[in-house]
Amino acid sequence: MIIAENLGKKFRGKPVIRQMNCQIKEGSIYGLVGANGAGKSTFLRLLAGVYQPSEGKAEIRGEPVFDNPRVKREIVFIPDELYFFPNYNFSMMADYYAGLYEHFDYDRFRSLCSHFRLDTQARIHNFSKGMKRQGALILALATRARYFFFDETFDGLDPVMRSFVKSVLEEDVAQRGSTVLLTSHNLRELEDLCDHMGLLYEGRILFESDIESMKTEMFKVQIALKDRDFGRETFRQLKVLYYKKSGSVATMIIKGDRELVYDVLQSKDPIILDLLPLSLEEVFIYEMEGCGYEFDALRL
Amino acid sequence: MNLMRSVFDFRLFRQNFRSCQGALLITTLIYQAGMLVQCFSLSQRQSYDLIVDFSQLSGVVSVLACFLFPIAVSMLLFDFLFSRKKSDLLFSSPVPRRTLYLTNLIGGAGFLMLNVMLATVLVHVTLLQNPQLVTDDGLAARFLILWGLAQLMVYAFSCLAVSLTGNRFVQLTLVLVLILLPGWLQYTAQSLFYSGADLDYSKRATETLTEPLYTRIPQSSSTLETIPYIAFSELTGMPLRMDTYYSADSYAYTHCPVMIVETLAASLLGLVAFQRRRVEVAETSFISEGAHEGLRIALFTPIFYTLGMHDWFSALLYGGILLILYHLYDYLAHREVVILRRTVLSFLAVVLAACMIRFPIRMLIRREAGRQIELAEVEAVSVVPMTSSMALQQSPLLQLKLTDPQLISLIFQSGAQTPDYTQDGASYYVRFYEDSGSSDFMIYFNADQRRQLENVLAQNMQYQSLYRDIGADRVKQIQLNGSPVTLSQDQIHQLTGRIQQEVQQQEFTELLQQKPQIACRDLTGSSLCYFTLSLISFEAGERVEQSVDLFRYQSVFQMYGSFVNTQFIQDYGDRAAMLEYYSMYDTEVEDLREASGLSDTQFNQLLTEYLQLHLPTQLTQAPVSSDEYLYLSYYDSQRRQQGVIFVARDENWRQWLQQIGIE
Repeated sequence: MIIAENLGKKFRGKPVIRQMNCQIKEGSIYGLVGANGAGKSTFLRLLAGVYQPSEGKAEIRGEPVFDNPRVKREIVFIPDELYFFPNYNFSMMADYYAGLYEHFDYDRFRSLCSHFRLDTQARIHNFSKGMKRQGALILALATRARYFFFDETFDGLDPVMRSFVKSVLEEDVAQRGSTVLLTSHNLRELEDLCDHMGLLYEGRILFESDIESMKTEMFKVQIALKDRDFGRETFRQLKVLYYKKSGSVATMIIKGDRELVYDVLQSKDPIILDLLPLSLEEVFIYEMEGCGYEFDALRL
Repeated sequence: MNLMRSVFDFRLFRQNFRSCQGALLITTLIYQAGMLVQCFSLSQRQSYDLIVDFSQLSGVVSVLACFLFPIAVSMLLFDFLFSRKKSDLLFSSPVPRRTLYLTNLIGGAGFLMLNVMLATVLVHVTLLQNPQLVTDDGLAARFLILWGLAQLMVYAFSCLAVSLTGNRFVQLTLVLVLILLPGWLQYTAQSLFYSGADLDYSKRATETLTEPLYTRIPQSSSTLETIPYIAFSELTGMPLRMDTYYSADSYAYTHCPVMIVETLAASLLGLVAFQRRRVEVAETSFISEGAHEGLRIALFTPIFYTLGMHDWFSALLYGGILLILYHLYDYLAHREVVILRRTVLSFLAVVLAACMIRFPIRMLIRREAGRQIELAEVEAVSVVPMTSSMALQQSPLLQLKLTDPQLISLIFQSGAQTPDYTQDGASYYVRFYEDSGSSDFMIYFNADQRRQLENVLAQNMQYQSLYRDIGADRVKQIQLNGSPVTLSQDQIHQLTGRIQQEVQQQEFTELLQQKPQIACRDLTGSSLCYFTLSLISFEAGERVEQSVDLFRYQSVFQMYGSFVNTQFIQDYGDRAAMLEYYSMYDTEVEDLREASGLSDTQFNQLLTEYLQLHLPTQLTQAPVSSDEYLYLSYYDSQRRQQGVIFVARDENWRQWLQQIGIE
């Protein structure tokens, strides 16, 4: 379990992460989204032990991460800006990682390099941005660590590679029960990969949930009743996050159990009733609006 | 093994080293090339200065290299603190911060030591192998140890600075301040001690208390004078050696413990700072605002003090200029413009600090200089004559505590009176030992007092023994009137042995009254010539010169004259064309040539032929005037060597003069 408790980080007195509380279960793929400057990278660096928290604590398996090699041996952090030693090739970088991570798996490294068609003997500085990122991911996965923190993982990858990387990550989580924490400023990138998601805004997690709940507990409803004068109060038994009526048809975003909602709406004897699924982006927008935040401020 | 690896992880160091190996190799090349150039230039200076000692080798190039090379290495090895990308990789890896810091610290120190060793080999090959040069014994070992330690110390300070700051400019400033500020303070304090022109002597009591001829001489604390101060001296051109007679302890091994302690302390503090560092990269990392202001003030205070504390005009002029630089510093350190009001307020602190250094120290010094020493307080004294011939004996004699009440009383009597300068008077260094420590004075003794003093000193066998020891076996070279003399080591030992023998046998009171014998005077009698032998030896790496009057002892003159005359005949008998002759302090030889009507070449040819036949290899007695001997200086333009020979003005000489047409 990864736990952030009242976690805070200040730079020259200016808070970047403030009073953050978050729990990430073992074996999950957690996506962290937020606008630029929301604090995603700083949060990852705190969890990876790069930064020392200004306040609160960041723990993995009950132990603080900062300057704790025992915990850090189980963590690999791939930042948004990658660093490779000058004039190194991936084979040399693999040696570097193997020196730090005792379970480094050369077979997996070679196998993944082969899948990604990555030349391990060529100088890294000659590679494209996407190839460097592929290489970094391969090195990370070959360490056989239990926790992977990826910052802007899919940045620079083409759609095919993006899909391939996702499948590799899913496979690792499924086979080894590893925990993956990914950040992105693009919701759609993480939608089909993560099982949990959190939204970071101005150094705080505003909202977090598992993807399935998000998708199954929130719907877009289009409804028309025989009594054309119905209003929002007609549906007061339900948790209506959004309501708009145009003519005799009302469009609503409702949160709740699908069957329960359906039964309630059916009891109103509707002429038209459609329950439509929401995209993850829409779920986030309506949840945030429900929390009282303007969508424009949260725009991802 | 695990413990070893937790302190120094070779694999980690190798990876980090490889990432900056290009820059490190270039730095190494510059360092070694600088050493090579310096050794080469020293080895070329053969004719006029044959002695190479540690001070000469420690020229500006070496000092700068010693100062800048470790800073460059620390900046390169800790470059991950200035690169977010690299710091992410290193700080997220499962390496304890302690290991990360110590690995780079120890690895960098090892790299520096390798360079110093390489430079030592270079010194050995290029300099010490040159047979023309006389070098200090153990020069290579001292170079290795002292420069190695000095570099380690600067490196440790630099690593401390890199741990405290997140900005290369601030790091460099911090290193400069940490290393140079103590040296500057020491220099300033000593300077203030010497600016005692406005001290009011008239207020001193004159009956039972001392009245030193000059203001109190500050104590030289050798334990403080380490390489940073020397580096400071070299960089600024300001002399740190205010005292002239404690000259044997710079670059001595006595500094090693100080440097080791400073290195360890800086390393330890650096480790603590690195582990407690809250942020890792340059853009976000910075020492606290308070520390930033402290550093800025510490940097500018010496500059303002040096430039602007002379008068109101310089204070205003340099204050204005420095204020602009002060603001610029803030911009370079912060990378953002800060409000001018804060800069002005901070600069006022600089002015205040400069005043706080100057005026309280000055008051303290006035009080100290005005303090009297009571006769009853003095437990012992040490006494050294103020003569240049005493360079070697000064230090041991100053350590010798004399408790004779008669002597102490005599010194007090002399000091209590208004100096009465007489022809046979003399000044002595006197160190008064009290409960609380010691104080040094220069005290003048008139002829009568001097006689009494010398009689008392003559009764002290230990004093005599120290005084008479000229360290004959340690003399490496001999010069005559400042010019190197071509003598073999065997001849040098024979000659110094003879001098030592004479000094041992001489009456002690006579020995104390050293008065040089006039060697010759010109025709008008207005120009006098003395022959002074300088015995050069090395004490703790420092060149020490003792002066001996050549004509003081007959046997010494005879031996010396025989050596140089014989050497001349052996070396130059058949190479007259290369020589030029001139006599000391007058133009007698040139006058002879003009009177003969011969050209330079012809004259030299004839003179050399004469010298081959008639120059005696054994001199029978020291001349008492220029009527008996002609002192000829010669210069070999091919070998670029200089020397002096002694030619008797006998019948043969007169006949030769007639042969070349001079009556």
